[in-house]
Amino acid sequence: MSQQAKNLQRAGDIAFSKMEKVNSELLSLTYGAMVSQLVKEFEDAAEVSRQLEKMGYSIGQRLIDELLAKANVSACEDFKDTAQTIAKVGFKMFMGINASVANVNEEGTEFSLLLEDNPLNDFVELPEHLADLRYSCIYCGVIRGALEMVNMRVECSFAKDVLAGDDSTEIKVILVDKLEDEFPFKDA
Amino acid sequence: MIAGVAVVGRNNNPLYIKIFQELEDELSLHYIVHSSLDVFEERAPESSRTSEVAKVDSFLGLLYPMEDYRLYGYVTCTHVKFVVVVDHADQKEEALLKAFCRRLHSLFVDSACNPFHTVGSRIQSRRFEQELEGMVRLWNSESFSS
Repeated sequence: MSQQAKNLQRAGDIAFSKMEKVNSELLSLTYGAMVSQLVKEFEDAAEVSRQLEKMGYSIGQRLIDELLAKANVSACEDFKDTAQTIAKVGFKMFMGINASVANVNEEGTEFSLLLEDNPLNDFVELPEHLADLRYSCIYCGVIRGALEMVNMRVECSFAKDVLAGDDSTEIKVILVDKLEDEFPFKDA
Repeated sequence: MIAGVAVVGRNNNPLYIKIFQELEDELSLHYIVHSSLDVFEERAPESSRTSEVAKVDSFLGLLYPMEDYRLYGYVTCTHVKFVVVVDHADQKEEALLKAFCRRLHSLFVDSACNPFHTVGSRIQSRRFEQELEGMVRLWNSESFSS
């Protein structure tokens, strides 16, 4: 691992230790209750995934400020730095998840996040009629919302999910474009 | 050898029945389990007869012996009952069976925590089934330890 990644990992661990903790079973059961309620309302796996992503989007917009305030991270120089920050600091700090970056493409506009474990998945088994449900889709929304607040538009999706039978959990992030700061007023 | 395991809900509705031995007449085992539910009523701890909630999980031990099988019962705080049917060839101590029931209980709790499982409905969790089969295989191969 590069020196910079190691620094970020240390920053992530320190930030994690300072955060207030909550019982993970409580979190898993609460999230599960929310997803099953969404399933009862919408009944379609794709629609529920969309709703979860929307919820994550509004969480991400607020979470980015907390990350930048509480973790001791400097500005990212390129998209790869962003990837490492999300993996080592973001996921560690808020969920205690150890994540790593993989499959960075040549231009540096795409990467994959590999999550070692996912506390939201505890006790969960997807029934057959919901096999397409992206259960942890909220993460995709969080990443999209957070990056949009720092002027990056991304598309985020699950490439692999242990709940769907794959051997690991992988989130794919693709940079679409960089946004310009918009000012609400013009010069007189 | 464990012949079968049954999980029965608080209204005496069957939540899960699995027969592990090759039998010509599987239905008879269903009837045997059903008739053993009366013994749960008789043997329930004193406190749970007066109040709605049993104070503690209890292993009821041998419910009643039959010609080919012995039935053991275990009831949880939420009045969910486990019935384990063991054939006569098995000579293991009851303490080991108590440990089996306790592990069965924790498997049951894990399956109930699945957000897509409705409490009080039949258990359809693949993980529950696989782990239970593993436990029974371990028991039958004499390597089960508490």
